[in-house]
Amino acid sequence: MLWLAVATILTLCVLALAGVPVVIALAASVLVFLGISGGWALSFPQQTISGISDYILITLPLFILAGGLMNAGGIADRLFAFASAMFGWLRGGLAHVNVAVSLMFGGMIGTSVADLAGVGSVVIPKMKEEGYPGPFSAALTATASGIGILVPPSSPMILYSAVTGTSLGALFLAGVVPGLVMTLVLMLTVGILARRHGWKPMQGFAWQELVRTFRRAVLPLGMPTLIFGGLVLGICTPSEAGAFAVAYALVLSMLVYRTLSLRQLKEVMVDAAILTGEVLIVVGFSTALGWALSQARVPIALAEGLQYLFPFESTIPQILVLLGLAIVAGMVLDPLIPMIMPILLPTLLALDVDLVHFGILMVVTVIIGQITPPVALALLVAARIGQEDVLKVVRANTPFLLALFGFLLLLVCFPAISTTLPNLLMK
Amino acid sequence: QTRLRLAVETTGRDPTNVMLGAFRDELQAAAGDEVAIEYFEGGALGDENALAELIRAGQVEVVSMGSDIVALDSKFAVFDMPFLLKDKATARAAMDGELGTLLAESLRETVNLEVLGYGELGFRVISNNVKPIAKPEDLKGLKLRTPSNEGRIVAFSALGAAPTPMPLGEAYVALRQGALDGQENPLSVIKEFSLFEVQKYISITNHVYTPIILTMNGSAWDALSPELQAKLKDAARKAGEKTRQLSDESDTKLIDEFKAAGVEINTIDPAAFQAAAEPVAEKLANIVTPEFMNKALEIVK
Amino acid sequence: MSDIQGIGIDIPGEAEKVKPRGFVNACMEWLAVLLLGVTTLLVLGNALSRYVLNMPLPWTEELVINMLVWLGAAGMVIATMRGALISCDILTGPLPPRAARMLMIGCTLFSIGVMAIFSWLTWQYLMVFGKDLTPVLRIPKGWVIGGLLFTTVGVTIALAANLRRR
Ligand code: NA
Ligand code: NA
Repeated sequence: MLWLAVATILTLCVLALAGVPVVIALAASVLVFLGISGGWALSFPQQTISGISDYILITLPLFILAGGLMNAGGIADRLFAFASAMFGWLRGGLAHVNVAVSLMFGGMIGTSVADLAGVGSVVIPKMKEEGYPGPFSAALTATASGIGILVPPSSPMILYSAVTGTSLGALFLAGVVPGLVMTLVLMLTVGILARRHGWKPMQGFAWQELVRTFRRAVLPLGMPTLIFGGLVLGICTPSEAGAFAVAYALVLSMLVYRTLSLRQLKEVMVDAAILTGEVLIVVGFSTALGWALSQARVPIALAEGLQYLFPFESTIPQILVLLGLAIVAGMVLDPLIPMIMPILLPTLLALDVDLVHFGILMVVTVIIGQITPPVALALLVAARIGQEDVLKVVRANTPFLLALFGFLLLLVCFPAISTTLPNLLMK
Repeated sequence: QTRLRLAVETTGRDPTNVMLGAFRDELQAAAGDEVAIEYFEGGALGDENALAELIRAGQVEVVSMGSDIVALDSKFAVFDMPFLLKDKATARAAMDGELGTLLAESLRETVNLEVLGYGELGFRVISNNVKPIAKPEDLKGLKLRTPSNEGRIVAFSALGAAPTPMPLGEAYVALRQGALDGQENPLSVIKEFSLFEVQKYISITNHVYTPIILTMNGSAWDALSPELQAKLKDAARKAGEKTRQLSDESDTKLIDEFKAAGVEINTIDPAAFQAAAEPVAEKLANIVTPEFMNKALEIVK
Repeated sequence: MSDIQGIGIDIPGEAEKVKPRGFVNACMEWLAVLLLGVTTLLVLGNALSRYVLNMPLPWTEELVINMLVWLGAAGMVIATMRGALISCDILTGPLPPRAARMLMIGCTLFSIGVMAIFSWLTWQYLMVFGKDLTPVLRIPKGWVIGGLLFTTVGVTIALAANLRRR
């Protein structure tokens, strides 16, 4: 049984590394499984269909679209001014502002890359102008963009919810406090670096300036308020929140600010469709792969192995091992969650791990995956936006990567950081 | 030796699993080495929809199904006619009698599945946070979670409620936050999903009866000897008996448990509800065909 | 590294990559726009109808799932036409141009084979179970299965077309 699983996983890895598109590698590995096991071949389309016909997945294009509209609407400048008034007076002001803008943007968009696209093109050039090293500026922006998928809305959480059946509302709420903590962790790291390098504040603090910039940013900030408030008060489901967000962003960028043309609108919609299409097929094929591996009894073997290695009450060591696996996979795989969760889920259920808590840990794993070589999507995009050498950006990112590992450990040891808010509001 | 692969979505003491498990034990005892049984529970082969496909493709032989069978044969939507069967005795007599036979013939004809026997998931009841449901008017405007099932939606709309299909897993949160007023399920499901924790009232409406249907791939059935066929039917009958016993025991126990947890429980007078539900028959007739609807109403009268 | 085309952002220096034009591409794009627009309206309509009129629209859910699969189909075909499928080039990036080209052709041929086999399985699946009805709207499941089939056949053809163009 296990060698069947090995053959399946090996097919996936070899093909993916040979440069075959990820969806093709997934499909080929399932075909290899079916070929060797001699199972019912129509299980493959059957599992794929059951993976993609999930209502929760409609949230994905909705939030991608809403984020795209906000980006195209030129919202970033307003948020940047507001964040500058709030944090510009700190030592290393502009670097702090960078992190804060990512948090604000994160409340509107669901992918790190959308956060980067919005924040990066505004902040990275400004940081370089003020004399911050280019690679450092790109690295910080890339890592901070991870906050965008920790606070709602979040595409990785939507996928996690679709694959595991965990309540998306609970996941969204669970990400809020960790998102704030991650902001704090990054600001602390920036503070330490600023002291060491003697970076200056970018501007003084003035109440009038804070009020003035706040008034310009209040409409964009209405979007996270709408999403968060709707979920907390139980007014809407996550998919409805997505539709409201689209409507809000559309009114804001087409009627209020008039920065979005019809042509741009079409482009943003097509882009949302492209991303949805790819992710949807990955979800479908991953569901089939998860089915194949569970036919090969991989999850049972994994759970038994873990219980044999760590026969304790606490599940922390087991969680750490599973996260370790996910981090290694996340260095290469993207999107990580639909591909790895079908394998991990049965083990998590057997170990009785809180799925909301683990979901947040997985999102942080995704963030780490996006800033670790060999496949470091966020660093790559940030380097392109800042026109910096990727290797230098990777090196400059070391302190932030270490900070994130510490942050992940903190979340593992104190589940309350994630689970308190959803428990308070939903149970 | 005949190879029989048995599959069910649920695990443990869930009635559909009890049905299949009892069938396996009875058959093994009666047929011994004549059959080689493989048992797949807990969705090892997929959910009920996947199993419904596997059995028709001949990938498994016997499947124990609940209300999702409507997807295969819309005549089973007749059970969505509210207050069709007024109590368990009537329901069981109907299943063992002409109604059961008609449905079995229809299932064989539409998707080539042989019904081995019927068990019992039980009656459904309504829970909510607004008020006890005692007369049909109490349902007006009530936001009720229902399964994604056309018949159920049609029926509750006709009774004046606002049916809201939603995955059962999301119902707890929605009820707690007040996005929904109530839901309808068998008592055992209300227990299993802890819904009684977030509901003030449970009204024993018994509005819909759900049988368990133990089905077998038609071609596999035809390939059996008449003696073995008889043994299968007999085992299925005994398994059905067992689920009915279980249903009686668990209902009494759960009502006591919910009362102890502070839920107010009331019963209803079915007559007024039956009258209020009459218009539903016409709408459901569109799904199950008018002839079948009339026939069913006649049988249970 | 993951290809960052198709993620929907404009990155300086990326603009020179020409987006494909032509009739098929335009059709796919408008199909995507239409489906995404209508789906958004349906979700919004369901929410408003529930809160304002206290009358949820229970049929929207199945319709939305159907449309989502077709939206994804259009998106996936566009992505393939743009050569933007997510793939990983850690090992293949540093290869000399000739070897890289050979490998690219090999990978594409392989991909065409895999997608063709999967399409064939989906077709068989459609033939056997496509007439089953969904529980609420009672529309044939063939609509969803057909969406998947459209995706994989479309990807197969687009891959073959890309190969010819190069
Ligand atoms: Na976000
Ligand atoms: Na990585």
